Amino acid sequence: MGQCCGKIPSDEDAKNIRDSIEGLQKQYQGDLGESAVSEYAVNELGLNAEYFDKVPHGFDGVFRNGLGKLVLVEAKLTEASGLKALGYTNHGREGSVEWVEYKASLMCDPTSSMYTPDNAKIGEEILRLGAENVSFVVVHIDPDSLQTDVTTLR
Amino acid sequence: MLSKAEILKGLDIYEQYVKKYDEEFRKRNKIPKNYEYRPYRWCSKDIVFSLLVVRHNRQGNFIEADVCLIANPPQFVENSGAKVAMGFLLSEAYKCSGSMEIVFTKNVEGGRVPAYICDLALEYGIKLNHVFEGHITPFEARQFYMELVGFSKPVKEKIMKLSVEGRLSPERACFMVIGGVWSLPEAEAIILSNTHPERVLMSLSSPDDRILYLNDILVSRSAILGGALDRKLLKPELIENGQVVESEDEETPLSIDFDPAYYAKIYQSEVELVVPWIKQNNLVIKPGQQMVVMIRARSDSEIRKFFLNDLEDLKSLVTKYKEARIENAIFFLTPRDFEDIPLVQQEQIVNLLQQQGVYIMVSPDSVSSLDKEAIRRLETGRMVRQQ
Repeated sequence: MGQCCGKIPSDEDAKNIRDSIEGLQKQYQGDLGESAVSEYAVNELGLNAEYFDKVPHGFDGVFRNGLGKLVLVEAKLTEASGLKALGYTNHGREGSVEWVEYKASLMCDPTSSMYTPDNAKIGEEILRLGAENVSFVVVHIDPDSLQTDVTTLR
Repeated sequence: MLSKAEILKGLDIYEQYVKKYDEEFRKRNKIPKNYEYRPYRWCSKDIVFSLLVVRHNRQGNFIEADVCLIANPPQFVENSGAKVAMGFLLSEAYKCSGSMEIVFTKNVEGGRVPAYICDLALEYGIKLNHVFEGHITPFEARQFYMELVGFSKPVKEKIMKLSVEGRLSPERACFMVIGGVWSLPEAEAIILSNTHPERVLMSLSSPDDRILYLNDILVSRSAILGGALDRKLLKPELIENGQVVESEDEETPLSIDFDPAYYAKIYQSEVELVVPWIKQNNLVIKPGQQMVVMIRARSDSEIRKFFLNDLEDLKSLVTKYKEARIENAIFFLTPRDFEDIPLVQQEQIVNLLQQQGVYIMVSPDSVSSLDKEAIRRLETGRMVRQQ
């Protein structure tokens, strides 16, 4: 980001930007990992998908277990597996209680990009239960072998 | 979050502005005035962070954004697009002599403050009071600017004190960093180590005020020498085909602190740091270790005159940092002018430093090149808004 540069674009620049935005339906590595993980969560872990609007830098997946309890799923298609794959942010490490609470509060805040009516319901539920009482699972797929492993944080 | 249709609608408006700019300015070889709409794009390689169309509204004395499309690329840190957009909007507001107020028109998410900017405000703990009216007030803008630059707490406090005393506006300090005149660690060193940092940050002295101007150059010289070391440590050297190259994207994860009592920089990294500019080629600072560097930007005659004073400071610094719980290595940084003093004296200095367990670092920059850079920066600072 430090190398980000600004300029007044030419007509051609604007055209290229449009092409790239229109091509956004193409999936990136992260999206591929997340869709594979969603399938894995439903088929292998027996979780049920919850209504949830996914946004960049938010939760990767929100599910419910057989008892109806919320399970947050973080998808990782990285070489580092398990807890090592979880990054650090200004609001704690991914998956930490602080991080989950922060994301949940954003989901409830109408000014935030993470707010939608469905997300607000989930956010409110997390804050009501306490993030420490909500399950958090990391589903990791090795990009070379495509083997999947699951780490339960809570 | 915006739907794809909303993004494409914003993009249509953006393209119209780009065409208009081409017709009215580029083809006629004219430069737009601040009060005319100008389109900008902010990218890193092929990743778009933000697309903006802005102008200075002269009646209201605020910056008006008619297009503000922001991305939050998942491969970059959270809110990176909003950081880029706000950095530009705030700097533009300062540059155009505005009140720092920012207004988003109806074309921007229906006339509200963009959601990604609200996310950034939440991250910084800034309360925006007019989100759905599409306004960011001058007070909120000032908070945003200070947070975006990332000044440390003691520096923020000193800036606010200077602001209350009417000596330096926080916006000016922020602009000098975001505008690239001073890096953040350089600005922090200037602010913390001087009783009158505003003289340098506002370029108050002209060469006619001989003594004051020379003093500003001395202050700048030390900051620039420290900044050169920061950059050397931040940019790892990669070997490609037997040649040393610098990667523009790679940056060493490094924390840089400053001890104003000794004019020393304290570096800590999560990865191994190869110490530059010393004779011991293989000296490495391990993760968890600290690298403490006392900076003395002196010419050869100044080194000879002041070294014994510097040695006393250094002894005190060694005592202070040896008592610290963190393992550390201590260095004494000097410009290349060190090599201009007689060899015998060089050896004496190195021996005295070794007795204290301190390594000498000799920068490839000379005092004259540091001074040239100091003059350039002071002149650049003179060309931008002063208040």
